[in-house]
Amino acid sequence: MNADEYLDFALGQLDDPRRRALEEDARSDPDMAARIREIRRAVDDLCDDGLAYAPPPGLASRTLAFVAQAPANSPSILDYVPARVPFRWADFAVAASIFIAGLLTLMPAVQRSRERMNQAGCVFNLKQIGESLGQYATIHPSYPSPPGDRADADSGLFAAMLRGAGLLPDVAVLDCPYNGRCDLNQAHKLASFEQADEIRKSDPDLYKKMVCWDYGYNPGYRYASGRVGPISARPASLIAVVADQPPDDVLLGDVDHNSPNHYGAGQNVLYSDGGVRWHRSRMVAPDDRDVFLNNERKMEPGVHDHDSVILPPYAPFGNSQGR
Amino acid sequence: MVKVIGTESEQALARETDEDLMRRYRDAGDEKVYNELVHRYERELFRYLARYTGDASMAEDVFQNTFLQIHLKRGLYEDGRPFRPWLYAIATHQAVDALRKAGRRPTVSLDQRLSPSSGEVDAGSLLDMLVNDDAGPLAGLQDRERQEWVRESVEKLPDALRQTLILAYHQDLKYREIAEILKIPVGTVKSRLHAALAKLQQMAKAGNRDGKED
Repeated sequence: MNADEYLDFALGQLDDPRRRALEEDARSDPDMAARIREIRRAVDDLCDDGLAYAPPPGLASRTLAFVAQAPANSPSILDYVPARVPFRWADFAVAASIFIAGLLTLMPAVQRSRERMNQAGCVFNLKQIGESLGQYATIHPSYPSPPGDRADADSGLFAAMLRGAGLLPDVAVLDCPYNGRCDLNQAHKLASFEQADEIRKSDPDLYKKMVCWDYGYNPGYRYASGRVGPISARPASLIAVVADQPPDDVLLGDVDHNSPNHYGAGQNVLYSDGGVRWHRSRMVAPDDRDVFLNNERKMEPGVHDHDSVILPPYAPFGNSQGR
Repeated sequence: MVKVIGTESEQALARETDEDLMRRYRDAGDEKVYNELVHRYERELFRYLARYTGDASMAEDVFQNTFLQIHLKRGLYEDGRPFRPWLYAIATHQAVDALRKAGRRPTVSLDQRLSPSSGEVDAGSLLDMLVNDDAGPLAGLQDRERQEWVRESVEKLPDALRQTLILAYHQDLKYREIAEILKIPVGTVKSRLHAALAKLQQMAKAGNRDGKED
C-alpha cells in the first residue's frame, strides 16, 4: 500500500472493492491499522471545523414556493444549446468532407510544386553532366567515344569515361529525380571504361546493375567516309549530347512517345552549347524530327552531323562498318 | 377493486435514482418528482452552500436559486449524466455569483488556475508531514480551539483549494464527481486536495511554533 492509497483511504476516496480489501488487510495488520488511524486523525485535526450546518426549517417548502412563483421566462436561444455535444456521425462526416475537399484542392498544387522541383533537379543533373562533358572535350579530342573504336561498347559507358577522367565525382547526377526508378547503388563502383568493360565480360549481372541510369548519350554520327565518330564539341553547333533516356523498345518507334523519365510529358535535352532545353516532343530541330532515332528511323548513330540520336545506356556506340 | 392510476407513493419515488427523477421531471414536469429531488438534497446541498459561502442566509438564497435553475434548465439535462455533479456545479456557480455580488470573495472562479507553488504536493511527503511532523501540531489544543483554528485556516486557503477540500472532505464526494463539478481533471482534484492539506499542516506547524515562541 503506497502513500497515495493511504491518503485516499483516509479521505474515503477508494472504490468499494479496494476499500474492503484494505480494511481486510488492516484487520490482520495492526501496524497498518494504526497508521491509517493516525492519518485519519491528522486529517480530521486539520479539516474538522466542528460545524454542523442544518437547513433552516421549511427550506424545501420555501424553495418549492419560490420556484412556483418564478416567472416562466421565455427561453433564450442559448437554452437550446446542449452543455455537452454528443458525438454524431453527421458531424464527423461534415468534418471529413471538409478535410477531403481541402486535400483535393491542395493536392494538384502540391503535385505541381513537386513536379517543378523534380524538373529543376533533372535540369541541374544535365547541367552537371554538360560541365563534365565540356571539360572532357577540352582535354580530349572529342566527346567521350570508345577507345580503340570499340563500336560494340555500350554508349552508357560515356559516364565511365568521365569517371575515368575524374570528371564525374558524383554519379547521383545520372539519376533523374522525376521517376525515382534508377538505382545507383552499383554505379558508384564505376571507375573507368576499361574496368566496366572487364566487368561486362566477367560478371554481366553486376555490369547490368552498374550501368543503369536515366540518361541517354549521343554516340555520334556516320561520317561521309562511312565511319562512325563522335559529334563535334563546338558549342555553336547545337547538337543534342545527353537527354532523358528513350522510351522502351516497344514504344521507341512511336514518335508520340516521349522519355519515360517525365511520365511521357517530354524530355530535357543537353546541347553541345551547355544549355538544357525542355522538349514536349521528340523533334529537336527542323532537320532532326526524332531525337531518339536517326533519320533512317533506326536506333543507331545519326546519318549526318545534325542527325542527333540519344541512345539508351545499354545500346552500343554503333556499328563501325567502313572504319 | 379500484386501481388508482397516476398516483405514486413517496416510497416509490424514494426508491428511484436521482437521474431517473430528473429525467422524468424534464420529460413530464411532474411536480412530485421535483419535490422529491428538493427534499433529497435539502440537507446535503445546504450544508455545502453554508460552508462554502460561510453565511447561512446567503446559503438559503443560493439553495433556492439553484433549484430554480434546475427547474428552468431542466431541458438541458442529458440522459446518462450523473445528477449530483450537475447539481453541485450549478450550486457552485450560483454561490460564486452570490459571493461576487456581496463583494466577499472577488477571486472566486471555477476556471481559476493556481500558481505552481500552490499545487503538486507529493503524496509521500504529505503523508510524512501529516504523520510525523511534531506528532500533530494541533494536539495540544482543546477541541473547541482546534475547530476555531480550522475555520480560520480554511478561510485563508486559496479558493480553489478550499472548494476542493469542502467537496472532498465535508461533502464526501469522489474525485471524479469533483472533477466534473469543477470541470478539471481528476489528477488536478487530487493535487489540489493534497495541496490544501499540506498548506493547513504548514499553517498548523507555523502556528504551533509561534505559540512556543510566545
